[in-house]
Amino acid sequence: MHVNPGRRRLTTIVVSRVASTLVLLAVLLCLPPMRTAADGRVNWEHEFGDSVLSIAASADDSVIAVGERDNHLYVFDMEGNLLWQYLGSNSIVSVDVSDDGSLILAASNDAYLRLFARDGELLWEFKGPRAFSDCAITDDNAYVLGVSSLGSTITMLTRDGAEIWTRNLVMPVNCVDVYGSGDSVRPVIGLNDSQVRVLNKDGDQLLAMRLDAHVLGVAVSANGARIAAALDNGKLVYANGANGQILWSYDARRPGTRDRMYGVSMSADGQVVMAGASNGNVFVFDGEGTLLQTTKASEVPVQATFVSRDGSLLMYGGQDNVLRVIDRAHFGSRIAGEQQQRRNILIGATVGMAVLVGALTFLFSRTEWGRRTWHVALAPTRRILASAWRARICYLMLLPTVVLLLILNYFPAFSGLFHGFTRWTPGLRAEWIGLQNYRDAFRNPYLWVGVKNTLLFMGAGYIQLLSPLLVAELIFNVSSARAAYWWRTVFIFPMVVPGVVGILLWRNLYDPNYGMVNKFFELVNLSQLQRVWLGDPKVVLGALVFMGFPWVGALPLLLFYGNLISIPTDLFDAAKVDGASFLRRFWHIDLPMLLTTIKTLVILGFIGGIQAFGNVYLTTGGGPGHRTYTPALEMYYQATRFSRLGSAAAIGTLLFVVILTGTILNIKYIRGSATEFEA
Amino acid sequence: MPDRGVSVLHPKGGAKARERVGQVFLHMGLVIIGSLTLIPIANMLTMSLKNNFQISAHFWALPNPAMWSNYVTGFQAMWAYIVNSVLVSVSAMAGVVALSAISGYVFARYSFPGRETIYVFILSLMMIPGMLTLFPSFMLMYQFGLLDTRWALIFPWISGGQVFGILICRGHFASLPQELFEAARMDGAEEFAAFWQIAIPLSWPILVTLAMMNLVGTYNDFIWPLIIISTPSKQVVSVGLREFMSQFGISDMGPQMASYVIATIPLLVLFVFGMRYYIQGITSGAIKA
Repeated sequence: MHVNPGRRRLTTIVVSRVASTLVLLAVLLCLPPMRTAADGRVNWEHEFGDSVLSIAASADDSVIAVGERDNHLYVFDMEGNLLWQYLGSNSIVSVDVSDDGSLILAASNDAYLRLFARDGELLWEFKGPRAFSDCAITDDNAYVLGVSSLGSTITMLTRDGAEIWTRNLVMPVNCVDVYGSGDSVRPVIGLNDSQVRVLNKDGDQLLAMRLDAHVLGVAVSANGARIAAALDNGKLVYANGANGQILWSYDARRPGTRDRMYGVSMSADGQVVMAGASNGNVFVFDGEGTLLQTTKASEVPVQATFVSRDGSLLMYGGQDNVLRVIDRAHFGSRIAGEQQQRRNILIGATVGMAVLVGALTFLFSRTEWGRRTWHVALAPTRRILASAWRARICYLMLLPTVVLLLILNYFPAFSGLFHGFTRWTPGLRAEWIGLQNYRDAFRNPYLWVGVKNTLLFMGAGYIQLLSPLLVAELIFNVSSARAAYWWRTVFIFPMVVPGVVGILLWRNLYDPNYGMVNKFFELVNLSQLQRVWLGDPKVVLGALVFMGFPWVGALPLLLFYGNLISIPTDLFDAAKVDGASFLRRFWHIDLPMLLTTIKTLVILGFIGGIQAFGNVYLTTGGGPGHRTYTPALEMYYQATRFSRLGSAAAIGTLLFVVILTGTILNIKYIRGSATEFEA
Repeated sequence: MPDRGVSVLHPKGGAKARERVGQVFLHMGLVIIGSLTLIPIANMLTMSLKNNFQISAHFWALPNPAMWSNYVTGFQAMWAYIVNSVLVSVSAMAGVVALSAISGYVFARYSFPGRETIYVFILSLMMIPGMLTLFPSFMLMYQFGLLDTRWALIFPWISGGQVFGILICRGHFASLPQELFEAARMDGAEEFAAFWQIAIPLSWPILVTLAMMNLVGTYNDFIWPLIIISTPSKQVVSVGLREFMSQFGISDMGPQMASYVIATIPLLVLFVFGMRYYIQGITSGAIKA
C-alpha cells in the first residue's frame, strides 16, 4: 500500500494540532474556579469633577448620597440615576442617609451641618464653631451627630436641628458613627489620641479603646457589637464593641511608605467590612478577619467606602473622582453559575466522548464499510497513533513543560491581546469596548514622547555597542594569553553588580549635591557646568544616554570576544603574511566574521530597547514633566496609577506588534545569524 | 585560553618593535576604558564607608575614619531581602534546569509524532515580549490567589526560563555522539539510566551555565516582584533596594551605598564559583545554540 509522504506529514500535523487543542481544552476545564478579588461587576460608576469624600446609602439602597470635594452633594438612586444635587460653599466632607432614606445629612468644611429631605429640600442648616469632619444620623432618625477635628468637639442635635449638647474633648475628633436609638443612642468616635470611644446619649464616656495611631475612620454594626477603626498607620482594627477587645487587625502599609487606612464601613451585622487605603487599595473582610477581596482602585487614596446594610452592595471612591457601586450578591451567584456551567460542560463532554467512542467502535467492527476503512484508509493514522502511543513516555515527560507554558505564558499572552479591546479593572468584569484603548493610545501624548525617547535610546544603544567591540578587539590583540585573561576578567567583573544597583549607582553619580559628576566639575573649576542632571529638562535625556559610560556591557563583550576567538587562525596568518594593517584586517576579516554576533545584538537591543523600563523608572520616573517617558513606563502607569489594565494591554499589544515586525524584518533583510539566534 | 597564533608567527625585525609599541598602546587603551568602567563601583565602595559630612566635605578623599557601622545598618536592612531572593531564585533555577534538561533530552533523543510542532510551540514564546504578558500574568496570579506569595515569583520564572533552557539543552544533547547511547543500550541500560549516567554527566558545563544565567536573570528581575510582592518581609533584593532608598532618603548615603555592596555579594559569590563555566558557555557560542 502506497502512502503519500506529504499526506503523512499533513496527518501528523493535524493529529498534533488536535491533540494540543484537546490538551488546552482539558487544562481550561481543570482550572480552579477563579477567585476574583473584588466583587464581580460594577453595577454602575460615576465620575465626578473632584475627589469623592464620603458615601452613604439608605437601608434599601434606594438613596445613595455622595459628598464631593468640589462642594457638591449628589444623590443617586440604586441604578445610578442622579436624583438631585446641592452646591455648598465648601467641600462636603461627610454624608449620612437615614435607614428609611427620608433624611440626608451633609457636613461641610464651612462648619455647616445640613439636613435634606429625600426630594432634596433643605430642611435646616446648623453652623458649628469649627468645620465639621464627620457626621451621622441615628437609626430612628431622632438625632444628628457632628464631630470636628479642628475644634476637637462633638455636637448632638435633634432631627429638627436644635443643639442638645456640644462637648470639647481636647483631642481632635476625626470621625463618628452611631448605633442604638431613643435613650440608648451610642455615638462611637475616633480621635487623634489613638482612642476609639463609645459615648452615651449625654456624651459621657462608656468605653475607650486604646489603639496605636490616629483614628481616621470608625464604623459600628447596628447593635454595637462590632467596631472597626481605620488608622493612620495603615491598620484596620476590628474589635468587640461591648468590651473593647481587639478581635483582629490588618496592616495594609507597604514598606517605606506612609500608607494610611481611611473610609471604613461595615454591614449592619458587622460581617462585611470594607476599608480604603491611601495607596488606592480597597479591602473587603468578613467578620473573622479573612480578607475576602482586595482590589487596587487607583494609585490615589480611596477616602470613602460604604457597605450596604445587608452587605450586598459595595461602594467606594476617592481621589480618582470615581464612585463605583458593586454588587456582591450578584457576583457570588455568577461564580456558582459558572461552576455549574463548567461542570455541565465537563459531564456533557465525557458523555459525548463515550457515545462517540461507542459509535466508532460499532462502525469499524460491525459494518463492512467500517472494516474496510479501518484496514485501508485509516492505516496511516493508526500507525501515527500507534507510534504516538509507543512514545507516550515522551509526552509524559514533556507534560510539565507544556502545561506550565500553556497556563503561565500562552494564556497571559492571549489574555493580553484580548483585553486590549476591553475596559479591564482588577476584580471587575472586563467590558468589550472595541478599539477605544487603541484610539486612546494613539492620542496619548505621553506615549508619543515615549516613542521618540525609545528611538533615541535605541539609536544611542546601537552606537554604544562600538565600545564592547573595541574592548573585545583590544583584548583579542593582547599578545600574552595571561594578560588577555586578566583583562577579560576585569571587564566581566562589573557583571556582578545587580542591574538595579547599577542604575541606582548612576542615579547617585548624577545627584546634584553628593554626585560625582557635579563634584568633578567643581574639582576642575567648571562649576558653571553643574546641573540637576535628572531634573533639568534640557539635559536629562543626555544624562540618561550617558548612563553606563563607557558602556562596555559584559554580554556583548563576551559575545564579540567569543566570536573573535572562534575565527580560524589561518585567516589571520594569511593577513599577516600579506602584511595587512590592523585596520585592513579588521575591515576585511574581523567585521565580516563578527556579523553574526552583531545581528544577534541588534535584535537583542531592539527587543530590550522597545521595552525599556527600569532605567527610567528608577531614575526619573518619566520626569521632569513627561520628558523621559518610555512606552513601557506609560503602560506601567496606566495599569498601576489608573487601574486601566485594558489600556495597558493595548500598549503591550502595540509593543508586541512592533517587536514582531522588527524581528521579522531583521531576520528577513539582514540575512545571516539572526536566524541562528532564533532557532 | 586558546593560543591564537599571534605569537607563533615570526615577524621581521622592524615589525617586532612596531608590535611591541602596538601592545603598549593597546594596554593603555584597556587601562583607560577599564578604569572608567570601574568608576561607579569604586565610588560605591568609598561612599559606603563615609558619613554624609565626609561625602560632602571630602568627596575625593578616602574614608577616614572608615564608617564600618554603615555596613551594620545596611545589613540589617538587606539581609531579609537577600534570604528571599536566594530562596526564590534558587528554587526557580532548580525548576528551570530540571525541566530544560528533561525536555531538551526528549527533543534531542527521541522521535515521536508532533515533536517539531511542540518544539515550535515552545520556541514561539521567545517572540512574545515580557511587557505584553506582564499585567495579564499579574491578573492570573490574582485570580489564582497567589498575589504577594513567593509561588507567584517561582512558577512564572520557571515557566519563562525553561524556553531558552530547552533551546540550549536540545542543541547540546543532540551534539552528544549517538554511539555513547547505543553502547549503553547494548549494556541493557534502561532509557533513563542513559539520561542520568551519560547525558547529565557530560553536560555539567552547559547546565551550570544555564543555572547561572537563570540565577542572574531572576536575581536582577525588578518589575515582576515590584507588582507581585507587597509585603516587605517577602520582598526580594532588587525591589527592596529601592524601598530602602525611599525609606532613608538622601539623608543616609553611606548605609545606602553599603546596602548596594551587600546586595552585590550573592552574585559575587556566584561568579567566583561559576565564572569559568559562564564565560565558556557564552564564548563557545552555547547561547546561540
